[in-house]
Amino acid sequence: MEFEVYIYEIVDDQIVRSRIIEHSGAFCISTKSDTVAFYLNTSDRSVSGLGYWYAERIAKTGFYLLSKHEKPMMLIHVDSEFTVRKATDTEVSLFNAGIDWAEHAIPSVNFLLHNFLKVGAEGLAGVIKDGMTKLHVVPTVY
Amino acid sequence: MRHKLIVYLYKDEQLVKGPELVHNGSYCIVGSNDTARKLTASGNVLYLDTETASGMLYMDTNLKLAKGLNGWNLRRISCNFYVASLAGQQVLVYVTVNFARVATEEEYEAFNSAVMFAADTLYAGKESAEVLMYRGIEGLVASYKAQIDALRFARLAKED
Repeated sequence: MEFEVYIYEIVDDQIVRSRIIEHSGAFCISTKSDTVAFYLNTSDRSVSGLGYWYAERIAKTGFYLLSKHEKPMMLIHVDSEFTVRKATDTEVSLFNAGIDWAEHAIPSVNFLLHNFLKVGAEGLAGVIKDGMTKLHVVPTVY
Repeated sequence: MRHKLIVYLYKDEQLVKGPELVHNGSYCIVGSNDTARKLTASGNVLYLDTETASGMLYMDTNLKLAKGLNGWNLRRISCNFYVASLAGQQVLVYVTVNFARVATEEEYEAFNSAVMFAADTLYAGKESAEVLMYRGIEGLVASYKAQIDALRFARLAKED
């Protein structure tokens, strides 16, 4: 099975598609260029970082967070046509707002201790995740 | 000092601009809007009784301050976005000095996906257990806060 792999570079804070590579799944893309940021696999819509870059999909959306040296660098959006763009200022603002909002869900020490004793470490993580999930603002449902 | 207050009502999942009020700290003057039946003021706190109890927020244009109304709690989450909540109901709203609206679908998606992203990041039972063993429960809290903080995307961050 062959699919297309799009290579993207970030030049002057903009995303530039540099070349298209036919990919059979049998070989890997390698680059020594530090400017190459990520590639997009059209078969499964996955975005992967290259070089020192790391890409992580945000929930089940078209947004991805690009990091370099573990530092968040750029929020991007990939649409159904595989068009990649930087997130708008509003989207970035809302992303950060969502993170800020989630921080409030981190419970108190006493609450954590109580749940740890009751349900263990994994249960504790589940309690925290449940707390954050409840922060979702309607009407968007995943 | 007289403050101009704009009241917004939440009707049919939309924000509707209600009466404009003039407030001097001790009383309010109701604007021409039939939805406001009774208005009293105590200090800087407004009480608005409407037939539908749909009052949601007011904006003080002098102080550039938005506050909840009729039991609604308004929490500012970024420069113009607020989460308004009432008895478990939550609405994401965008408020400026002279305009208010509910968030668009895209804005909801960006906001909610970030919350889910944060939840996924913190959902690591094994890591939690290891941190607990070595740093205790307070260390775990600090670890969670540090992870959340690291997720925050700095708009101005650029390549080194």
